[in-house]
Amino acid sequence: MVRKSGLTIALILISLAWPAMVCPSDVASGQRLGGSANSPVQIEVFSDFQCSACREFYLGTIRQILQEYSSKDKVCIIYHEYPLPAHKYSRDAARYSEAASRLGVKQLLAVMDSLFMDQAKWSQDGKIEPSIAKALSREDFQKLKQIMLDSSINLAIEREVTLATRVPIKSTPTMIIRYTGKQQKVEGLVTYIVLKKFIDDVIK
Amino acid sequence: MTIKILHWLCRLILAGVFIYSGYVKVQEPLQFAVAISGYKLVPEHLIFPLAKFLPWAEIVLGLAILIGWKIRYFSAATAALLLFFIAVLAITVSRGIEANCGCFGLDERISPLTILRDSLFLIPAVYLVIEPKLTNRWRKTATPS
Repeated sequence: MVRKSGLTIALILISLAWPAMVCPSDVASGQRLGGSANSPVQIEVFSDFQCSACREFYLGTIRQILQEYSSKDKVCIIYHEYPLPAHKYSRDAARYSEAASRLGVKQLLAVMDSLFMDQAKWSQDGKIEPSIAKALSREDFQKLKQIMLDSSINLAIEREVTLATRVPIKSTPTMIIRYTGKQQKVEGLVTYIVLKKFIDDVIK
Repeated sequence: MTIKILHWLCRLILAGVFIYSGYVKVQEPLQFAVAISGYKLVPEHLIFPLAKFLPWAEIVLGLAILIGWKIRYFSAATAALLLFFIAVLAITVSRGIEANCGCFGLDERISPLTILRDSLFLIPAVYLVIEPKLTNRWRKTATPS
């Protein structure tokens, strides 16, 4: 009798608690760094160029995932700009990144690499342009400067910030990862090995 | 009657805590892996396998206690797991690491209060392990010789 009632309570609890949680997002926006819409794993990252955990996450994790998985179309990575108000120069950095994305993925990755690698430097004085100039060819840099004059750059950043507020994103880096009909939001730094094990587990 | 109420109270508390805690983590294994890596105690290649295994172990323990199957053994296993959690939390606090607990979700930083809470969960677990001995003793003292 006691065991039967225990089993009933257990079954009721499971049936009540099991539906999967869903977190809204918008794949149409953001900058696609690698992979395609058909990749079995989709990763959206909300990132701030002046945040040190975002730097570590991009240089230590995302770069390797791009190389190992996105090049084989197993993982699609989309970056969303989320410049935090507390960071004085991160919105300017986001504007450069948004402009670079309009030149192409290769140029975008070069600019992101440079922005994150030089983070300590430009975070002090706000001089972002030298980091951009060395990442691009002279021709691309001139094109980028033209694109930067376009008011749609600011609008694009605003759209990203609105999206982040809607999700909602509380801190950076935050990842929204979709796989086999599931979705989860991950806050904080995920190391390459942990993310690799997770991806391997999902696409095995 | 009092013994029965106490027995069910302990089972429901323990089962509820473990099933809920496991359920939250099963939903977000990667977030739980991030919490585990925050403790800086587990080798990196073991973090994700542990994040996958541990929540299911909690759910199985919780369900076994709720159903009442081999309850003493499962309560002992639950107490052992709680002691392991308490030790891990205490080590992390003593090392001055500001990690996310990962116990029931994401928004909880490790503190002495977290250790106290886990220690309190030990009470129902230990009670369920020693319950037969205790009830025998109570019955003997209640029955006039």
